[in-house]
Amino acid sequence: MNGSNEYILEIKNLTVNYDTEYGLVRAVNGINIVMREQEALGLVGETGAGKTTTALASLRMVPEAVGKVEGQILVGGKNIMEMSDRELENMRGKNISMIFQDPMTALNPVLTIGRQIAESIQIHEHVDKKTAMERAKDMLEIVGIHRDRAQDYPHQLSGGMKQRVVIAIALACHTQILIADEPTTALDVTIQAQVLELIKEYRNKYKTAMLMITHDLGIVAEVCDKVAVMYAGNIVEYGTLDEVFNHTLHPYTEGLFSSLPNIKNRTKRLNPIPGAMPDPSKLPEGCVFAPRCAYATQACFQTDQENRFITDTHMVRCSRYQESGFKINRGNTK
Amino acid sequence: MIRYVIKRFLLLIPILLAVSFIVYFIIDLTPGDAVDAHYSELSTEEKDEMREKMGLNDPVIIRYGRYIWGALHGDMGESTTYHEDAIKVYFARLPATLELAFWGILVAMLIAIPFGILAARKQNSLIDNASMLFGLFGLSIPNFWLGLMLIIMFSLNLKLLPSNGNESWTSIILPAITIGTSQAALLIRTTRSSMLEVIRQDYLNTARGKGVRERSVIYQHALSNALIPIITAVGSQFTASLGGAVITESVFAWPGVGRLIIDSINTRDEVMVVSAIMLTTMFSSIVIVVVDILYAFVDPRIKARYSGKSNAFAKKGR
Amino acid sequence: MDNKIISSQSDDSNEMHSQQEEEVSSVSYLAELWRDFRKNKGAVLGLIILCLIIATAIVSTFLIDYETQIVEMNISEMFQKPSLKHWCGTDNFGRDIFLRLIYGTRYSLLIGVCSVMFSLLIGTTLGILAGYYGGVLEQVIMRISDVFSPIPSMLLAVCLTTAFGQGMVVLMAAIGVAAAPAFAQVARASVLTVREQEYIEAAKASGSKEYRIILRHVLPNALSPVLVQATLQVANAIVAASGLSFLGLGVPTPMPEWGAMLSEGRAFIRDYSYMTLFPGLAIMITVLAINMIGDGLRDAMDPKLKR
Repeated sequence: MNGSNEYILEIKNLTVNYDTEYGLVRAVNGINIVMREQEALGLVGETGAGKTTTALASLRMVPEAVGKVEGQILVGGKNIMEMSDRELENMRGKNISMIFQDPMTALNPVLTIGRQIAESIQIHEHVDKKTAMERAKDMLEIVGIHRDRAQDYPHQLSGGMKQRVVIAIALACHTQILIADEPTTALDVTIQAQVLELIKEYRNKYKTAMLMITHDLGIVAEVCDKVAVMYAGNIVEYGTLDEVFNHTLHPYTEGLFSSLPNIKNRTKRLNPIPGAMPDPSKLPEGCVFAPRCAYATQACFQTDQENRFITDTHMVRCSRYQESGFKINRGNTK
Repeated sequence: MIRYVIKRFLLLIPILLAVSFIVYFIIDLTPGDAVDAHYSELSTEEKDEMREKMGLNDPVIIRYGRYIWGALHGDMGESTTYHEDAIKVYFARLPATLELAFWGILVAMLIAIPFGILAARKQNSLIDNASMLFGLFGLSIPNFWLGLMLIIMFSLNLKLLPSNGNESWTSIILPAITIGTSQAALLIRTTRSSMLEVIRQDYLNTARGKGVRERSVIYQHALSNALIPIITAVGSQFTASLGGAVITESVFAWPGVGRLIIDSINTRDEVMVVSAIMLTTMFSSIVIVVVDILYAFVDPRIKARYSGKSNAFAKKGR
Repeated sequence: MDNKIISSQSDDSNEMHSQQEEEVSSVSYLAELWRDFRKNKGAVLGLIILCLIIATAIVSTFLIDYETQIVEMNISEMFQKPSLKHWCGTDNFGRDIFLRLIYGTRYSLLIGVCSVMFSLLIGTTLGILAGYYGGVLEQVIMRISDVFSPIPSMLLAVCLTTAFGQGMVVLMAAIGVAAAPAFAQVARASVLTVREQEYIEAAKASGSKEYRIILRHVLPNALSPVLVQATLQVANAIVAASGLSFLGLGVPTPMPEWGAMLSEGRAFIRDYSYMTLFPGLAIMITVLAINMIGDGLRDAMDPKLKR
């Protein structure tokens, strides 16, 4: 790895457009993300915000036939957009890995789980089949599955176990960057806790950096150091966990927090954000969030938004911060 | 798993009995009987006496029972055309039909599977449209006509390939193409739709995310899943290909059981007709069971279901 | 008394309302089907060709005289290659092949359609009953179908024609019976799928009578795959019929059935290959047209392809 660069993953001005029969779908619109070693970044947003597309793009797995990807993505200092197929294949699974959302369909039904883990090891570590299988069994134990189950088929496992196998596959070669796309959404709450715990332990041991994609703020609070909030293909707020949670800047982020049910005050009505996320093939001019924003002014519907750094680490994409003294209600909750 | 296999084979016995009974019953309805055929010079009363003696007036179940009993002992009567045991004649000709069926399926798979996969990968491209067109035409051309056209082109005009019998190693080519084309047409459609189904699956992305190269993703991960319905299709086509063999063998004068059946019908060799059709249908029944069992072996989900290897942690369905 | 009048009136209006609903649902279903079908250019082409073929068959009844043009032998005009006088040439008896082909259309179409009717009558009905009522009835019907399935349909048809002799009716029945098990299976599977759907539960819960449920809900949806199967089977039946005639087991000579014509032409394939070219072409074009229509129907009915 390129030692001089301090960032292990760097996404610069990433734009992904899908060419469909309904028009141009603008899934991701010029986002920037940086991650250091061992850092955990939470990428938060509703369904359709562009999170999964970002994840796929980071492994250059956006289907080329329909998706046009622009921008730079540097994994360990190297731009994956310029890599050859060979280099990409070497990189995937070894330098950067992904855990997919739905464990029920993420595993090949006709291969044993042992084989599926071992395959990754065989590709990257160039060992023989037997050794690979032994290591695969070790991985099974690490994720809490008895090693004798290596010759079981996916359909013989429960949802939680399947997801653990998916994690085992992703971590088998001790990747440095783990992208987890809603890894616990499809699971029961108790299993969810186990899986998160597992990921935490692994990260501590192997110093893996993690991009945690989720719509669940609770998970972010538990696992992440930094947070990026995504809306309609843009990152609207970016900062440390404390900054985003306790010194929230963007109206959308505020909306996300206020829509959480409050167990202490159950007589209050729920507070959804009015309206819905715009159709990515018909994005509005100006600020994408303006139609739903309680603080929007006339100018917001016309001006293009820019990334504004309020502190060294806290970025917000809201033109109202041009005005001095502008604060949203949630501002300081110390 | 073994229990499943045994169970299927045991179930085969009543099926074979029922199938053979149906065949016997239908052919038995043909007007005229052995007495008319062999003792036509006798008077009506003498013929009736003959029938009593030969047991031809007994109800069909009993005659069938006698027939099957004889069959189990290797005696299905003597062919009046060949003057030999019908069973012997049949099994002498069976290898030729099996050879034809085998090469036909091979040709079909060699054409259909590669093109079906390509068509699925590059949907709506030239290859896709051409493959679908081939599928349509291949199914619409009557195979006896295709055979005749091939004979005209390659045997008569170009004088390249033989049109008759089984003399040289080239004799198999035209018949195999004839019988293989319609099978290829059906198979190309099945392959394409099966691949299309599989290509959308998430586990292929898991494989790519591991660093598996694209070619392996398609030809190992995807194909091994797509092959399951394809193999079932090939297996279930076997029965139909036996029917197709009857016609193709007639066109090319191929010395197989199909032609045997037709010739026997034309020479009114009833013994041969019954035995040949019965043995063929029984053979077909056995193949169906074998294919079903193979299918269970190939798909681990089915295999597990039948070997009772389910797991306390496994969730059903979903 | 007032109450009685009112209640019977409202009963009537319920009846009328549901009748209208029934009509609306079947009309709009057909209209939507036609709209989707029309989009498929191949299918429409197939439909046009088929209409032309049917029209030819009908017209030929009036224009062609069986005795003089189809059957009468004309030795002086034997074996003439295709020309302006005889578009497809003449055969070994001097008969005009083109006219025989046109006349022969009726056999193929009739056998195709009638044999499928036969299959529908036996196969589909039994399949629907098996699927809807389940239990012993289903087991019995399915076992019978299982026993007939391993018999190659061509061989079954051969058996039946051997036993009952040559002739169009036998041919129709033989092909119809041979295809019936497949029809039963599709019908049953279709009914099973529909039966499980929740809207059947909803209909039952709102108190509709059982036959109503079958008529309004089960049948229209279950019948879609059956319709496709029936169309494609017409094509198969035509090929099977000509195949059997080719083998000498189908329509007896001198009737100009296409398969029989191929068989006759075969003897002269060396010197007069045109005799085998044209009948086969006729079969292929007809079958192709029907297959295109069948494919078009299947695509039009496929919910996955709908937006």
